[in-house]
Amino acid sequence: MKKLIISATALGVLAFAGYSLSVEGKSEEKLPELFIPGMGQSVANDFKLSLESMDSSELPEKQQVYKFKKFNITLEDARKKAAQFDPSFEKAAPKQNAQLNSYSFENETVLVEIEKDTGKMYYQDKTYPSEVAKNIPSDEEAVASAEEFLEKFGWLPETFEPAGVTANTIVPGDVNSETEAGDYVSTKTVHFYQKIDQLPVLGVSRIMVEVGDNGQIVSARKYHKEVGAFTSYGLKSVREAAQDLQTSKGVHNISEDAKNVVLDKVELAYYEDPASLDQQTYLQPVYVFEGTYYYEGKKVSFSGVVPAVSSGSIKAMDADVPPAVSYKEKEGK
Amino acid sequence: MKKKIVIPALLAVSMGSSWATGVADAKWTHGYSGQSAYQRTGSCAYGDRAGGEYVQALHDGMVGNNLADTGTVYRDNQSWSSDLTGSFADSKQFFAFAGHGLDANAIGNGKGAASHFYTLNSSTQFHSSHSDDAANAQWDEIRWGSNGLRWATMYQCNFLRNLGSTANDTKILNMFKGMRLMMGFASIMYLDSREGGRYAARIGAGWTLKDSFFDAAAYYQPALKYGETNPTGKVIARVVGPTSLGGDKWDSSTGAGLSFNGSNASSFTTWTKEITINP
Repeated sequence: MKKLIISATALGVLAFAGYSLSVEGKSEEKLPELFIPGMGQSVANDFKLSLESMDSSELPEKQQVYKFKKFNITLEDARKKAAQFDPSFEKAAPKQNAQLNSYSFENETVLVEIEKDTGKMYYQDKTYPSEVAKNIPSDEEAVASAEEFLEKFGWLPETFEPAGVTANTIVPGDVNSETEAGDYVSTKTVHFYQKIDQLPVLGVSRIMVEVGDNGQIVSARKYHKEVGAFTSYGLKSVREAAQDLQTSKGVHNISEDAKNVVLDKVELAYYEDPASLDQQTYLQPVYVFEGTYYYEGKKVSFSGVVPAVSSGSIKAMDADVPPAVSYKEKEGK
Repeated sequence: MKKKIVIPALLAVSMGSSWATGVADAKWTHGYSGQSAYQRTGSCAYGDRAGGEYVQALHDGMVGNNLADTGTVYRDNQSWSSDLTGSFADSKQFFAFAGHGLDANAIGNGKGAASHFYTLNSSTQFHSSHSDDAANAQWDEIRWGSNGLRWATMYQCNFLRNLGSTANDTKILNMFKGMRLMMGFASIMYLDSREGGRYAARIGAGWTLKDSFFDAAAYYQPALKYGETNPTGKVIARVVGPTSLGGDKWDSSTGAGLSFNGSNASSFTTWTKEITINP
């Protein structure tokens, strides 16, 4: 009987604790660790950091975290979206790619691909020839063509703006592939990047529109996820974040020979990871550091990015352990 | 620990049925060399990166998308520069390296850009200097295609960057001895192992290798702020090969491509797409 009373009491306490957690708010939910990939060239990893000249007084103690929307796009929904580009897709049977989790509508002229969960989309005009174009639009004309296309199909949320235009080239092997590439432009890409709460969204939050001869839209990639508000989370201190920069928990582009690095500025941004919604459900804030160091006798600037949410609110990722395989052909070499 | 070792093998088997949604039905031979544990194992100051994970994901994707049977994936201590400069890579039809990359001027020995290793062609001997010869596979040491390699992917910084030098373009073409296409970057890039899975899925769905590589980069390469040492901060993806083979896909011939002989450069092409800009 005594045991029963103790058990009932314990259950009651647990139930109350659970209720309290849910009432307290969603901020008790730990967020998946934010993955920011490292650069494939050398960077400094043994340097001293000076924070004295950096003013971080304007930074908030908490910041909104957003949750990526899950759409569960049905075949009917997908057909309607694809039919915007070619009416024949209204009744088409798309290929379904399990790995990419997508519907793919394709005929001789158009390819439209729609991700079921995220709503990411890809469009391609298959009639565009793979060669150097004769009448490539100016950057301004390319932006105008891209915006017109995106607005026509409802792909341009107000949070996105043109961030730049780049040239894609097809250069013959007997011509310098970099210094003379400007004469061999096949298409231009208009890059649209996003701001949320006036903060830039780094990572892969982008729309890319490829514009070719006479402003023809060659392809478009809506490779960002859409978000809804979630809740705010406490941020780690700037000092802790700076240490993360030093211990490679974030990414930076400080050249490998740098020894003394001065941090001048820190701001908040968001970072979108391309992971599936099962792996990363949230758009999380990051600190963006800017500073200087001496490189080959010259003072140069750099930047670094570190996840900003307080470490106590983050679930660590499982480390990837390679399979323990031995290769006989390499033993005894 | 035991579970983690078993998972990749299970995935490779199960993916055969669950991923086979594309069109491919090739049986390429394939091999991989990728390093992740630069710092934690090799004390390499360049830092750990997801090179081993990338080549594993690419291998698994190739198997899962019916492009190849199980192949050889050398990772970390088993991943050596001689995989590229010796017979291993050139004995496969499809090969990929992933890890750190040094640009054409970084080592200063005139042999060009390098794929960097912390190993010294040994699973127990590691480099003491970044410029150790055995720790780098450089342009002038790589000649691919005479023994079978057709498609190479260099998932690292700078391998297809000429730094403005036509002589460096020639060094890049010198690697073509029957190889059909080489995929890589002409800039900085960021190592994300998941990019390998998408690259394979695109090839498996019938896309050209060139467009598959570009699309995977467009999906995964992050836009991050850069500094004065690289003001544009762009990630630039690049593919090089004989002009007529730019449309290679899973059902293309596995015959040798054009061999560069010093006077047929005009028969080759460099395709470049700028993936990100400084945000």
